[in-house]
Amino acid sequence: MAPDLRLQRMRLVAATSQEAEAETNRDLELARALINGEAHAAELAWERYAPLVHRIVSRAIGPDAEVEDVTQEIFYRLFSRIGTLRKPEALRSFVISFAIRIVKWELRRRRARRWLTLSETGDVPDEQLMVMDAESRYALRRLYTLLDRLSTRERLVLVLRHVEGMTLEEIAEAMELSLATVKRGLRRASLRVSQMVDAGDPKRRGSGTALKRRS
Amino acid sequence: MSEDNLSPEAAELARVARKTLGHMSDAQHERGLASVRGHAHRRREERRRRLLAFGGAGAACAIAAFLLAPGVLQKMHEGSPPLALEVESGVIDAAGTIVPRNDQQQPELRFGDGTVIKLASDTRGRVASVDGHGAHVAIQNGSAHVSVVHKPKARWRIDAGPYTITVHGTVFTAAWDESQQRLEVKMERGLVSVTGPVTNGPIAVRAGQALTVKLKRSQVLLRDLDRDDVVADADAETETDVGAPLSTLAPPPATAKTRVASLATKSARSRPGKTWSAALSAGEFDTILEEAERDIGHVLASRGTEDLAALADAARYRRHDDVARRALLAQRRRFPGSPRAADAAFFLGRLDENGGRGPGSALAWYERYLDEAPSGSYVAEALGRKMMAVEEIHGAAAARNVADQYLRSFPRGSYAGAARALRDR
Repeated sequence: MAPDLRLQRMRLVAATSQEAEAETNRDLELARALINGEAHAAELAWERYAPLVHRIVSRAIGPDAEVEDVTQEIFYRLFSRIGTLRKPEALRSFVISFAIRIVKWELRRRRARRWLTLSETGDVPDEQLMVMDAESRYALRRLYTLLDRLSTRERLVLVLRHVEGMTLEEIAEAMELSLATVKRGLRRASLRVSQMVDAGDPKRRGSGTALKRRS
Repeated sequence: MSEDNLSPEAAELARVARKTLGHMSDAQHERGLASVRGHAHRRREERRRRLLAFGGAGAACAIAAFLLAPGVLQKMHEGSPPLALEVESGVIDAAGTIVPRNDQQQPELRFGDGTVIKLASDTRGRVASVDGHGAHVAIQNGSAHVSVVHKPKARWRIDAGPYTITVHGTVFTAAWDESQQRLEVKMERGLVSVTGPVTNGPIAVRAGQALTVKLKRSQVLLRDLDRDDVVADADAETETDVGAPLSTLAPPPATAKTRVASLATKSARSRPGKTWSAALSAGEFDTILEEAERDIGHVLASRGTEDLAALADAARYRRHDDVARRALLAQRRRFPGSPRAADAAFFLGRLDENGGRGPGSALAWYERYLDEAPSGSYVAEALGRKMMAVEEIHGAAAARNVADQYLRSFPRGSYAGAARALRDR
């Protein structure tokens, strides 16, 4: 590597590490403020983490009117359980993990009540998709109809990896699972979804034959 | 393909989900912020009540005994030196709580720029922060008369319970009744915007208007102050879901639960010849639209600036985007250089954004608004939207300059979180 390139890279690494340190310090301050119940801590937490939490909720649940309510609910619960945060400097991980736990409950609740993200006709409610172009609407409807056929854990692992773009290690930490469990879940979920998409039939469940063929 | 990868077709579906889902709209952010603020407020109140229950009056007196040292407020300010503050008939303790000298007195906060905030008897309030451009004062229960002196870059914020009142130069009274969960804002002069639970985005309250929000009933009432008949009837009125809030900035979501009482409608209809701005205050959006749409061309060519603004507002609230756009464009064409023409640029940007015309068109309007009204009422919102639009069109690197600009001017604004995220990315 040329010396100036190496220098540039070293500078980049140093800058990145400084940014990460600054981020950690900000998290530390915010976590302490939340734990101490300081007046603006809740608002600051919302300002900093609401877009992230909203994104995770929205992508995990799909286009749904309740995304906004679930996001707010996560923050309420987070504030009341902030005392359980062991490492204040790891606030971001705590928030993500907390959000995923609530989303998991929400998905299970919906599954139990057969609410899912579907209307009675079996479609994702149209009004949530009105702002998108027809192609995106169709794609989303198709994807989330398929995701409803996975277990909650498989669905979350797949969304966090393939839609949210998290690493397997990050998913394992956020979902409080072992890396091996995440890998297994992701493999199974990816195969099932790919198989159902390729088969062109969203209602079709993953059959052993297709699974073997793909493997 | 590795075994945990998706097939190309499935990966394409995931890509669409990544691209289309996850963006938090401005309105969602504002609603959430108000909701979280309300939640935090209730938690603090609960904690305070518990503390008082445990510590009794002795503890409360002990807290009040720590009079505010001259340096305490200085710790709170941001940037330039904070405004001087004197408290008449009371003191401010170390936690910022305004404590009257005795139960009968009404503490008065007198700021160095001439702004005066007078608390009514038995009002609980606190000074959250003071900086060189204004202060943040919270009313926890009771009412305050606020007289803010208009200065360039002034930044005043009054919280009344879970509601936030953003103030420029203006005189008004704000009251929050904790037990009834009721907000009252009565405007004498100027303009404020109010955000909080069930408002669905900022509500503009103008001189001569009064806003009442009944949180328990999710009811929002905006009326003229001289309409005593309406005020008297307010509590007895049956709620009517009109489906559109009085929000001036953000359109409501499909799930909005806000109810706007149509209390003014029946009395207003009995008054022929009413102006459109009065009709707008009374919530008669449909009446304005009906009248305008009878001969829209003539209306746009002949009506005055106030009527065009009222028509644009009514059309926006009712989602008649085409009429709103034409009224706003007429406002700009016929009254160039006026404050309303500048505001029209901002609203045209919002319409373009919400109507799917794309961020490019909206960006041009926001820039035009910021040029024309550098200290206008919607500068914070316009700058925030500009930042988002620049990011969408030109990427994060290009948006960082706008984010810096935003954070310099509005470090605690609605878009501060997004701006910091952009800057730190």
